[in-house]
Amino acid sequence: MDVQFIDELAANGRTPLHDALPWAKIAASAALLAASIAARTPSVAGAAAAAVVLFASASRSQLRHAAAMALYPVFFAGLFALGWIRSGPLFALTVVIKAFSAGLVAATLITTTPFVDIFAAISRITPAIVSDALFMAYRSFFVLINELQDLLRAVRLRGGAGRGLMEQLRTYGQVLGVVILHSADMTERMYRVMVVRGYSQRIESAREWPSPKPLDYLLIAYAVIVLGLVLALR
Amino acid sequence: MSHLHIPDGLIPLPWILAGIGLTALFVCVALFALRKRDRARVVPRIATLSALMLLAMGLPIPVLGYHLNLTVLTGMIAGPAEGFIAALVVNLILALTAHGGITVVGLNTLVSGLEVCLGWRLWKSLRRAFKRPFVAAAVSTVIALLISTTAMLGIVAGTAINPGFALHRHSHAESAEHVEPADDHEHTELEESADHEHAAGSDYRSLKAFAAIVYSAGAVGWAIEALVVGSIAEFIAKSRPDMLGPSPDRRA
Repeated sequence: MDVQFIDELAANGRTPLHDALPWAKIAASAALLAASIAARTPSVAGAAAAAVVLFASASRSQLRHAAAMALYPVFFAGLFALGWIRSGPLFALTVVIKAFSAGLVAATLITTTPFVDIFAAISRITPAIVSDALFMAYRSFFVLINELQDLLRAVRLRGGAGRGLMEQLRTYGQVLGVVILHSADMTERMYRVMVVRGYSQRIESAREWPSPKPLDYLLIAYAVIVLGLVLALR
Repeated sequence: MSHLHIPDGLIPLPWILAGIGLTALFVCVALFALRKRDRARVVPRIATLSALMLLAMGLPIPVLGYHLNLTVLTGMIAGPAEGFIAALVVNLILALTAHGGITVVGLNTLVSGLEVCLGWRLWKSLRRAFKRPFVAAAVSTVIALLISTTAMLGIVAGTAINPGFALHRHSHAESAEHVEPADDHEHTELEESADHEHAAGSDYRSLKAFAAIVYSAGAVGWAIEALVVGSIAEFIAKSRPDMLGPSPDRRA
């Protein structure tokens, strides 16, 4: 999972899905996710997966990145499916297909929509402490990852990463220890900044979304039709 | 693999709703425990710990595609209230990156939150028992991950996402559509009883196979996580022991 790369795809991509409004993509993704989960047979799950691939193909060349991300849930679904492969091979196949299509929906959404827009939507349904922590965790991640990468690079250049796995893991532990110590200082700085700025129990998102275009309605209509068909066929 | 990120499409709706409901309940409990604390201090700490967990997950470890989690370490540093919210934040971000299901954020948070809480409790108890922080942290990690993995298996068993159950329910639904003649009644009962035994045996076997895979792959993961968490704890104990200390401020 490379949050940096995902953020780059979402922020710098120029495809029809990137142009669509975040709320339209979130609504369409929710309907497609429901369709993926609602499928009960391999054929219906396969049809739902094909519909999701068609949706994701609107992100053009980014589809391969999203598909690669969707393989992660397939791996875990495969672990579950292994236990059932003898007693119910069709059920096991359905589980794996559903995991792929649900994963592809999430991956397509996150690679075409900036995190901040999605967090703004999440903040409407979560307590302030959770949504504020989401925004700040995202920001902190990019500060800390640069530090971690610099540290790991410095350790490798000095030949300190170790040859064996055990040595490598111990080095990771110590490097992470340094980053954790720095993150404690960063937490203190963030606290002071929040106090100075007059933090009032919630970080408000000032993002304004423009009025919807035909593409936004098309996405939602497509997803709702897919969901309706899956519910009718399952 | 310390805990398993359950993908979408596996868990029945009542369990999904129960997971979300229980997570909401525990978040309320955490918010209540943190109500007297300065929010401007609490939020950055939850945020940086969440970022650290995400960061650790990105470290490449060439064994079984395993990644670190640092949930136990989060519990040791932040305590159960802040740690549970950090677990929720991480699971929300992970779900968006197809790393665990979106509908299963509740259940996944419960499993990660269990690791956080156990990590906090075990570290508090074991650091007195063991002289070296490395050993106390490593043992806390292994025990917490063993219990959380067992809890995850409990969810899998409890949700009856086993095909044995599914096929059995399906055959019941089909047989209900056909009215059996009265003289075949006893024969049908015998057949149903055999079906029940067969389905139960099949469920048990598939769950056993799944548990064997999870425990054997998990054991490698627990050892890796324990080694890293132990190293971090030893490093912090030398440099900033107050971060891992049982100060009253971190008990919530």
